[in-house]
Amino acid sequence: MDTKKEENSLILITKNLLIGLKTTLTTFFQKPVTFQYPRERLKLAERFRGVPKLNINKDNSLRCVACMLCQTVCPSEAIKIKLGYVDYGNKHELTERQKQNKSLEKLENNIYNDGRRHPETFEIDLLRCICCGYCEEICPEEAISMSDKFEFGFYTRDEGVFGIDKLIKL
Amino acid sequence: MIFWLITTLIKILIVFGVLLLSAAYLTLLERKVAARIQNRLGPMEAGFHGYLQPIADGIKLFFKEDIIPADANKLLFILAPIIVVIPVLTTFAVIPFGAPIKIFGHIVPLQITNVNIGILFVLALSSLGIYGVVIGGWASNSKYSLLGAIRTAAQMISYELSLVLSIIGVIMIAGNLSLAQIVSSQAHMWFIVYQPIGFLIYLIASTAEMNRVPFDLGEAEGEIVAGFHTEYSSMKFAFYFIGEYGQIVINSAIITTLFLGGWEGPFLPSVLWFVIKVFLVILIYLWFRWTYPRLRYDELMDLGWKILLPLSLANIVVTGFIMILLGK
Repeated sequence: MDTKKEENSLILITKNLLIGLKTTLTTFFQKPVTFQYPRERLKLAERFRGVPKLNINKDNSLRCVACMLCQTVCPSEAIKIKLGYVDYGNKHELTERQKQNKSLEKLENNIYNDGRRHPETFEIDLLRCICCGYCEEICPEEAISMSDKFEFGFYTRDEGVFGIDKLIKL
Repeated sequence: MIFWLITTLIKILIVFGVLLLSAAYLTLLERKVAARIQNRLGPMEAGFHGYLQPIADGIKLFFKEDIIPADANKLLFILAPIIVVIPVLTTFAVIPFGAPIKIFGHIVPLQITNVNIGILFVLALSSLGIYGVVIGGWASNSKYSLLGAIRTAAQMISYELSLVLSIIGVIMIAGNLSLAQIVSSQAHMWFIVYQPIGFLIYLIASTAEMNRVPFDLGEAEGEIVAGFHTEYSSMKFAFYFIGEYGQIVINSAIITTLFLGGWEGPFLPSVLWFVIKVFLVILIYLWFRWTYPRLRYDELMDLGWKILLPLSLANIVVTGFIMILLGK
């Protein structure tokens, strides 16, 4: 009953109304927090996780060795890797170390490589990727890392699947 | 005679143009003030800082499809927005917006007509606006429109009383119904000093009469879609808004005239003083709107009948007593 009485007291109501007016007046003179988005951007944090990108060596070769760890760990199954071997071509002479590599004997004829793996295709479906960073964390070669890109737009779902070329450029 | 005709026509054109323009730009001001109160920026894209936004909105509204519901009463449906706008545009005819000026030896009062019952004229016209709302709500043949119209009608009638009674104190002190006379009798002291309660009651009651937040029960978005203008589109919709924002200007001008000394003021030209005062009162209205939430219907009626009406009656009695005691 007492609370009801207090609610209805005219002085209290007036006081609360004035407090409301004061609140809006103070916010009126504060600086707006809006960013004019396309022209003005928020500063990204140092450890911001965008979508994953592929890293390359100084000689433009991929660092990825197709170990499949990222594909395995990916919780949303966004990464798809097709395994391939590095082909040295017909005329390549085998080095001493390659000659002693027993695993080469298992390979088919006319394939000249030492069993070094590389990804033939490496696809990340950006529509599935949740930018969790597990792939970066598990990668033994530091071949995949999180970029700071997060704005994408596609007209079809297929455009959302990025291959090696696009992933390098991210 | 011809000189009088020309000056009057020019005055009408200027007042008409300024009123429509300010009604359009009030939408921008309202959005900017709302944005600042909510720590936002408001419209920024159309022109420098969005200053062309009202024009863009106007063009958009002109080209929108004009829909009339199949079961609506066509004549009344078209008539209603016009009834809202006409009284608003007419009211400004009696409001003095500047000191009389001299042109070619003639004294030209900066007021379209000096009616000797100016306040009555203003009050009569301001209560006409309700017909547009009620007719529009009924003619739309929609339950939301009808509900909004009924609410608005009940609300406007209950606030009209305290609105009129709050002015009576001013009339008693000025001893005149003409707005020009009321302004000139405030040359030494504004009436807000003598009538602070009358001013507050007028401010609240006029907010309620204009159907603005926190008294916008007639168009409560959360409850009845858009109230009486639910079915309106295109320029008819725009007419309702011209009426609404025009009414803010009118009410601010009336408050300025009755309580804040009209165009009286030192140093600056009188028209500028009038504009500054009106602008400040408009800002108060906007400030109210973006501070308070909407009242419940019974709260609204309680405030009107149980608080504002007795207060305004007491205000008249106290004013009368003091005037007799001082022997005026």
